[in-house]
Amino acid sequence: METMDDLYACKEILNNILLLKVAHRAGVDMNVFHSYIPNEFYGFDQSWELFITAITNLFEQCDFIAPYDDEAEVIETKSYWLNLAKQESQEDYKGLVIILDDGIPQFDDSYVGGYTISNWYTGYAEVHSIEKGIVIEYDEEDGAIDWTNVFAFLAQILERGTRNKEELTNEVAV
Amino acid sequence: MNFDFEYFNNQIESQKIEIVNKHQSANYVLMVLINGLPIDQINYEAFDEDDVIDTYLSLDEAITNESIEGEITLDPNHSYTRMIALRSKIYEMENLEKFRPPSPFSFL
Repeated sequence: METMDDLYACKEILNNILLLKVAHRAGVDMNVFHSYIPNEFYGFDQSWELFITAITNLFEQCDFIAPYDDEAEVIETKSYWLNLAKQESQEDYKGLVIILDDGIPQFDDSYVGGYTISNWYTGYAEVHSIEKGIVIEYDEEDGAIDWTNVFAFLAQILERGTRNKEELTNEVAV
Repeated sequence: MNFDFEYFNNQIESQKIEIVNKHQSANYVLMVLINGLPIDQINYEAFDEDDVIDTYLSLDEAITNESIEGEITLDPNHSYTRMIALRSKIYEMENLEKFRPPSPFSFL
């Protein structure tokens, strides 16, 4: 580590290690991940790559819509999911991540910023609850999102759902 | 004056183990970071989320000076710097020229 850029790179790697640790705890098969060190082959935005890999393997179904996709069909799909999440307006600069899983309980809509452990992320994600699913509306106009933070929140929701299910099963058994 | 080497040694050993154990998991995170361990070789049971966050935050403390050009000076006593020094030392030892002393026996 010789420059401030090296320091930022080290911090980004640590943030990615944190995401891997959360994924491991949540029960994701670690063989699905390729790399946590930013490189030109797997992309410099490793955090997004790791996030998508983690949710794809943790939840039953996942899909995402990139920002600024203005095809009529995409706009219609985006509106469908946002309406389901009780959101009236849609902005073309915002992206969407849709997750469906029977284990996801209802939860209060939440706002996840970029401040887990770092202070330079300025993007944000709104996490909306839908029936047996999650809709994430994200805005990276003013900076990247800390996807480790978002993933930790999702893993927490799923854990709560699994725990509720276990408790219900135990009650029925009793 | 009699010096109790036994007692002295026991004291040092017990304290050494205590300090190492205290920072073991955070040091493991540093080791993963510095060596860029492959994902399948990381022991995820060896550390928890707080260890990564602590390591992340402590990196700022390793910097003692920053030049206008962005070059930084590291604290030689910081765990990150010590780990880097340790890695360099191991690398040097691995690459030492092999030396075999001449045998006094003609058949060896």
